[in-house]
Amino acid sequence: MESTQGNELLSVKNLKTYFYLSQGQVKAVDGIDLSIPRQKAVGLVGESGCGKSATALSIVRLLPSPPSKILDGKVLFKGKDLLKLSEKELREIRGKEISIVFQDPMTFLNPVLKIGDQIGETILEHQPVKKGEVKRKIVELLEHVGIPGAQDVVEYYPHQLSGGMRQRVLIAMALSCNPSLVIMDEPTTALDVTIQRQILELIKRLIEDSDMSLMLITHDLGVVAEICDYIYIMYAGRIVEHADVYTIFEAARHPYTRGLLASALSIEEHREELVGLDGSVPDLMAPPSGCKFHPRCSNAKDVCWEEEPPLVQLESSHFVRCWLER
Amino acid sequence: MLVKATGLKKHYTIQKGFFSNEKRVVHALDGVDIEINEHETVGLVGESGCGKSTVGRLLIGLIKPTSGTVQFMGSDIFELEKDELNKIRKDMQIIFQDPYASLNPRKTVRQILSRPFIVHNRAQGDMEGTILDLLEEVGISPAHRYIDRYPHEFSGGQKQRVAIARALALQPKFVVADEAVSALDISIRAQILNLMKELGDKFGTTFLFISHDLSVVRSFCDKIIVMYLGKIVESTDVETLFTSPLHPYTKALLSATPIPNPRSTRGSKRIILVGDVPSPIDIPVGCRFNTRCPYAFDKCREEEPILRKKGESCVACHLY
Repeated sequence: MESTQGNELLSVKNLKTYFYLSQGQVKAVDGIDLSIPRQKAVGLVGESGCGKSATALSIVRLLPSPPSKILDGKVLFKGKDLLKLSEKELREIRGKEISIVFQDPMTFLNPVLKIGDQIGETILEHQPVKKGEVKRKIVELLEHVGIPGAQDVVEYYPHQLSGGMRQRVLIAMALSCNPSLVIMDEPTTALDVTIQRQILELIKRLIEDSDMSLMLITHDLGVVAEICDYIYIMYAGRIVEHADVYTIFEAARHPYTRGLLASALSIEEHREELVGLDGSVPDLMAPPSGCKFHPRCSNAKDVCWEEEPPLVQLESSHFVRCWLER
Repeated sequence: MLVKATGLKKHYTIQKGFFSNEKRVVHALDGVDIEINEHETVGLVGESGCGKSTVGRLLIGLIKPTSGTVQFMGSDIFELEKDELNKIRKDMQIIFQDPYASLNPRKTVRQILSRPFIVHNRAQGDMEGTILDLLEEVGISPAHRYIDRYPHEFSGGQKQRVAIARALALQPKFVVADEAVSALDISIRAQILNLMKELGDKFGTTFLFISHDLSVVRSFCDKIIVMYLGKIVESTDVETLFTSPLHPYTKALLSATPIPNPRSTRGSKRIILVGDVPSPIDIPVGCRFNTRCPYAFDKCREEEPILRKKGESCVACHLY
């Protein structure tokens, strides 16, 4: 993204995260470059097992090691390499400047702590707020994310809230220290349609009103179409295509991206037959030779079996990793 | 008509607390009529807790209704003797959402797929050949390499293929697919939908397709039924539902569904419902939807609307 170079908030260069398991080595993230500009929403899209979450967790170094190991790469956030920071320095950034919202709110809320105490913990850790003011701040945050009766909710335990409300609490927690980057990993996948809509509208409002950037991880093309400005398509630990949202949806070049788009169903049209992708995501313990996508690609040539294609630039902000584009 | 359900109700009684004697009633399903014609694919949509799975289970006799009847090819399945019911059971099958949970982890695919034949006394002749054919049919190939594997050796999509093979083994007339593709990745979801469509056409199967995802039923179903809190709010053919929805809840659902097209979704006005679905223990008085409906007026809070014919559709709303 040449045009946004000076405006870059986070930039990931050649990130490699491998898992060392008893059965063998898994190259979950295998040399990824990506860039998140200020005040933009960037989507990371792909099917399960392609390394999306591993990428996000590597950025904030939340993956347990062992079994995982970050072998190579740089994660530059406001000029600092997060991979080189000490654990103490990193804690200053994680939760304050970069925060994460996970898919399943029940797993990430402590069931025996009150909502207020859980949010308060984050605030007291990172901000010079007096104990007495914390509660007021928490109520403000809960109101900001649209929780009715915020005064009472502070005293609730997580099980007393519905799924949509819990997700709002997680978002409130993520926003508590005015982060410059929020990473959301499938934030609406576990929710019902009308509740998903409420959360999507909330996310859109937050992006518009504040100056934060968003990294959205999802497999739902409907959600990225609506929220993201720029999209990275990931397959088997690699970025296979990236471009702005309109280019991805209207002029995608990689066969995987096209296959994903062809598989996506829409309420706007009735499709008699779905032309999707054959096969499934490869086992990353024994990835295919050459281009990782060739076993599922209908246009694969000899070279695709032998050698992995490089990521080439087609237009100023359109990159694709495919031999057919050479 | 293949399946006809009249006045179906299913209530569950629960205790208020562990020591309390006070009983409360969960109105999972509160009076539903459904007619499904042969070779038709009917979509049943709604949010969690609206009773769509309960309908699916009642229609194939897995649970008994509190009141109401289900007729399958003319006979009331809850009045039948046990052996008569068992005979009819081979014509109705179900595919569940989670293939990890619906396949026994300790049985091989051969054992899993021979069960339907054994249960229904059809296990004569070349069972192995039949099962191999079945596996090839659902796209697990070469079948002889997979037949003695256990479920954990398959991917999610393959497991769902095995679940489909099991459901279609006896070539049933009626299959309930309860969120059968919701747990799958989108490329796999498209494959499984194509497979169900293809096999449905081939065997003349009638599907009841239960889903919370409107974009899936859009491409898969002929007729759609929308449910809210244990009742049908609208039912019509697929084109009418998506082009001219009537019930405010249907409109809200359509408006809430993200569309994979950046040009059509940005900046469009949406109907955003406030709040959550009310608890089926305390059902709102009047129209069940009135607490979240943007158009609710006095009558909606007093009188419950009944499902009426309006043009091509049936809708339960005081606006019409």
